[in-house]
Amino acid sequence: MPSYEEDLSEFERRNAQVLGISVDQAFSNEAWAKSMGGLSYPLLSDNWPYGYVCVQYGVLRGEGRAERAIFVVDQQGIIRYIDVHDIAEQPPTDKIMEALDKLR
Amino acid sequence: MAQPSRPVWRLKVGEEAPDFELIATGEQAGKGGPRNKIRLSDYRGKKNVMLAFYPAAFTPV
Repeated sequence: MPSYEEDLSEFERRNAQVLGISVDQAFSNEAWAKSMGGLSYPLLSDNWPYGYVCVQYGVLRGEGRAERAIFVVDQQGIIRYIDVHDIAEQPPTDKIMEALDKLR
Repeated sequence: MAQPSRPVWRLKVGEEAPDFELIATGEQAGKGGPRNKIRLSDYRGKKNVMLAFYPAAFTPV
C-alpha cells in the first residue's frame, strides 16, 4: 500500500481516487498509516460484516484476509481493469496507469 | 460429503462494480482526521476509482 503515496500526483492527473481496503478495523488502519507518516488517500475497513465486500469482489482468502488485488472502476461504475496479485508482491503501477489512461 | 458445487465468485472487466459503504479513516489516513463512511457510488460521474485490496495493516509490502 505505501507505494501509492509516491504516485499520488499520477493518480490525480488521471482523475482517479485511490481507496485502500482490508478487513482491518479503522483504528488499526489509522495507526498503521500514522506509522508510515500518513497517507493522502483513505483506508476502508471491510470489517462489519466481516469481509463482506471482499467476498463480493471475490478476493477473500481462506485464512480471512484480502488478496492483494486492484480493481479500476470508471466514472460509470464499470470495472475496467482487474489484477489479483501474488500476496507477497505489489501489483505493477504502470499497468494501472495504462488502464486509467484509457478512461480519459 | 458432497463436493461444493458453487463456483468461486469472480468479477470480470466490463461488469458493474458492486457498490459498498465502509467506515474509512477519513479522506486521508494516519493524519488524525475524523472517520467517515465512503460509498463507492459517491464517485460516480465524478472520478475514476482504484480499489486496492491489501491483506492486512502492519504487514510488510
